Amino acid sequence: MTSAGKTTTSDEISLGEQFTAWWHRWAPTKILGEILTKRWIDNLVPMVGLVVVIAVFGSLISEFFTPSAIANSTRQLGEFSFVVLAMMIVMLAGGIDLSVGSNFALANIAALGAFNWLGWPLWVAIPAVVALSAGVGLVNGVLIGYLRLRAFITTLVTMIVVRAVVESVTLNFGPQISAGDVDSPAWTFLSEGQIAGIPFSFALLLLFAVAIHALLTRSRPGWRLTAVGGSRRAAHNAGLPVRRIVASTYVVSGALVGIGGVLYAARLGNGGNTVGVGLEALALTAALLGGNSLGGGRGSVVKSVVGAVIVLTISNGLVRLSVPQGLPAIVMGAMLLLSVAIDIKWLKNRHKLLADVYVSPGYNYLPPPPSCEPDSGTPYALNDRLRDVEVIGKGEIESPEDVILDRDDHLYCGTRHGDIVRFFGPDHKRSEVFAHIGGQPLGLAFDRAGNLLVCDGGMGLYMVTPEREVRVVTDETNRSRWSMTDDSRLRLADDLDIAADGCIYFSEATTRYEMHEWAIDGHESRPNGRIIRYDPRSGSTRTVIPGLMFPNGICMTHDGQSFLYAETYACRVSRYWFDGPKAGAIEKVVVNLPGFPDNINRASDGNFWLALVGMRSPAHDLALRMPGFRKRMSRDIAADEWMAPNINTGCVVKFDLTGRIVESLWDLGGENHPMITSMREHRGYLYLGGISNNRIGKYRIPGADPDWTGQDSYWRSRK
Amino acid sequence: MLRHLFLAGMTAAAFAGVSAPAAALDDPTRAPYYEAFKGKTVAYLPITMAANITASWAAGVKRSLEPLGVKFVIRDGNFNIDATAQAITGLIDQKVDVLIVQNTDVQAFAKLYKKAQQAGIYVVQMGMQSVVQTDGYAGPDWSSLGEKMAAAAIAKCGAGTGKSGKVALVQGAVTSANGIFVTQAIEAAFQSHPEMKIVTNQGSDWDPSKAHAIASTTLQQNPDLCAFMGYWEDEDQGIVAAVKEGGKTGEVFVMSSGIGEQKSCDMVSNGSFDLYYDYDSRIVAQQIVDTISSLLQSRPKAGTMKALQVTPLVEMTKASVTSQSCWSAADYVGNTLK
Repeated sequence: MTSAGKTTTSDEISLGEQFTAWWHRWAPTKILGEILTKRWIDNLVPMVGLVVVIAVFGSLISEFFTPSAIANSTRQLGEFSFVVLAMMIVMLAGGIDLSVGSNFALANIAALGAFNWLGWPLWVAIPAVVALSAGVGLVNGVLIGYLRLRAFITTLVTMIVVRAVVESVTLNFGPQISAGDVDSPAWTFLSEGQIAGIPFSFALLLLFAVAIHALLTRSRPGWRLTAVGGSRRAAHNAGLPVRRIVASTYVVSGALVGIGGVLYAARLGNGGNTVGVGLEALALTAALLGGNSLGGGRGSVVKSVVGAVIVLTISNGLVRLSVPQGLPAIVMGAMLLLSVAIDIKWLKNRHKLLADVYVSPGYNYLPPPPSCEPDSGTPYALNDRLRDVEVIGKGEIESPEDVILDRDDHLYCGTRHGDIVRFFGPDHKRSEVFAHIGGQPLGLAFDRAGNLLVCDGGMGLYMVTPEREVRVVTDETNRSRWSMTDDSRLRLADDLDIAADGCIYFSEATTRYEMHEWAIDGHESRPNGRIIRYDPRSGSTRTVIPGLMFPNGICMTHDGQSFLYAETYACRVSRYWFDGPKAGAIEKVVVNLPGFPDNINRASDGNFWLALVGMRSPAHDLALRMPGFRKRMSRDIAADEWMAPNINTGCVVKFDLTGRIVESLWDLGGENHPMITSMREHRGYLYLGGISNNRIGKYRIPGADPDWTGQDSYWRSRK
Repeated sequence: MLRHLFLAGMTAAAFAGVSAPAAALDDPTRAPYYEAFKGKTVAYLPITMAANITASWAAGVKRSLEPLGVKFVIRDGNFNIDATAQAITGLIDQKVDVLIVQNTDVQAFAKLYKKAQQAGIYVVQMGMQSVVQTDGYAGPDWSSLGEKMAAAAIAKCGAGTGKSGKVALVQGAVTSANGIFVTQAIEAAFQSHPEMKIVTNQGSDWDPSKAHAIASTTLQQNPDLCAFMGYWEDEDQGIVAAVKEGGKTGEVFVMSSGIGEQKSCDMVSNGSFDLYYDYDSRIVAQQIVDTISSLLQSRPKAGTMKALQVTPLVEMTKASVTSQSCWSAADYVGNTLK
């Protein structure tokens, strides 16, 4: 339908392409990628597993979901989950505890002995048993944390030793311990009591789960523990008491196992030798299946409980199905292997999957651009007017995205090192670092008081006072209501301008990518950006225009009620009224630019300067209409080989509020000043900035008002 | 004969159309008997089904009860106490009529038994009893077995025999009725025989390989060991193997006990077991059936009747065992459980 030579208008777009546009506008591909960035995505696979397991066994075993079966299962789950939590806490700090099974048996026999046989009251017996189990953990902790023995071997030894102790106790006192049957309501309550209809052991688990979750995610000890698991060396270098933290995880682990053992003792009163045999493997399987990482640093209470439910359901379910003996053990072994494999593969490949899915190119139709041929007669026609620009600071600066001058003719620009560099007026031969902010300073503006406001890519909106004090103005806005990701943090604040009332309007080019990934956002060409208002009176930051396609330059018009803004990848300039009778309205001013618009600034004649950072090309325009093509590109080849918008050569154009292009300034051949992202008129000269340039250009504007400055244009008349 | 037929015919003719024939005498016990079983559910919960002992009990019970219209369900515990506890809970929910349970621990299911009986479900324990007496128990008297074993050990190793008097106890589960009562009886009997020394007393958890490990260690530590007192034939295979490996066959006296299946007889006749006590599975199965039968027919309130059915212990030695002493599990179980 649309052959290359034919001029196409939007009316002529084929049905197929319209469908493509529609599909890439609404398909959930973008959401999918954003879901994958969430931390809770780790829990998704175990959750699905949980649902499947419960569905399968629920349908195979008729009495699976009767109230008392569920009550019984939850009691068992209560006990088992304590052991899994114990395993998780140790794993989170990078260890492993194989002694949980034996320790569980020890707690069981100790609880039965203390209560049934010695007749200790519960309030003595239970703390004593938990302390005993914590003591076993302490032995592990001292050996592993302080003496730096290997966790696997150490806890294996503890497991064997504690098991031997349990066996000898069972052998010598088993009959007495088992035969006793003290009738105590409190003891019975442990096994049969309910709190608000919830079996006691499960209620206790919920209590501990919430507490441990809060401890791990909201408290300093929890963060430290995770940090040690994430990287022991880094934690040590950060000054954390690694040994003590590691040791303490085993003590906590032991205590939790002790609680589980007491509950088990109360429920079954089983003094046999087989208690807790193989429990360490079950707990490990549960912890891993839930998504806790073997290497440490990744784990949670929810993961552990989910894993516990899966493992318990399968192990109970298989026995209930009367499968041949040995099969349950084989299935559990297979599950353990599977979960280890998933753990490793998931950690290794998650970012690959994310990279595959995250980039989600959209459909972006641009009509054929006006010609820039020298003899075309269009206002964009190529010329040499910038050939003779004067060069300032060549080689001294890198990436001066924006430039600005103060009342004393000093020239300021940002650099990619995070500095604000000042060239001393009037000749701009000497320079100094005026202030260091960090990030990449982009758009610049002076407010009424002479403070320099800076949009800093990667950091937010900053202010440098005349006394060189650097302050954060704002680095977050309100989170979008329906956004999957938290987009409240400012990733790429780009350009700003200040309204007469002091409100600062600034653009954030994209909420989906970082500063250095701006080209990927171009590849995606979706409306990922927004314009945000900071109100200094209330200190509030609110998004005013969401869903813009790489919003870039912002410039106040002279009416005090509206501003112009450029959307780079949409190749247009629009006007937004923030005040007055048209408040909230948006009108397109310049559309279908032949290049990608960047900063906009006032000209002395009442018009506006606009930098085109690069020019469009037919191939790129076509690719923008083929999201599937760009998706394949992003999946199949390395990012540095993707099609990116050209930003090597651009120009400066002047336009008026009706959208008419008045003139354009080029450096044909790019000999002296190619690559322009901004321009600032000052006393008859136009100062040129460029994000991939190493200089600032200075162009004498023929016939311009030699006294006009931006400072006066903005602030004098209203003073 | 012809005359009888004729008379019968006449009588039939005379009463035809007037009333039902009165010649067939009603058996007043028959209908209530079948009524007692019809539609009842009996659940069978062994420690494991992967053993001849529980399989043969199950087969015997199933064969007797199913033809009476009883639904017989099996819940294999698979050595997992928790799974059995959960199964019992589920069965209480389903309101089955009878639970038959084998206890691996004297305490573990005590609470559940109370609950079941409160729900009107009869609980019959088999093989090994718990500390809680329920509606019925069928199986050996373990104390009696212990006494017999102790007497045999004293006779074989005690004063005047010239032997060391050292014996090794290789238990199954030490907190089961088998472990507790046999051991207590042996220890009590040895009280008056100071020459008898228990050099090993450990539990193998019914596992032959664990029994093997215990036995071979014992033999190394006590070359003059007089007797092994095994608690169950399956695990005692481990003792036999250890004795053989230690070259002590014939020197160390090996005692065992079990269900009297053909393999047991073979072990006795080939000298692996020197002394064996048989509690015949077929009898235990019948005792379970009898208990259930009387419960279902007389329907006492659950928990009020405490019926004990003690299985006789039959002593077997190489001298006494004959081709008729044992039975074949393969034949007895057959396809019953398929």
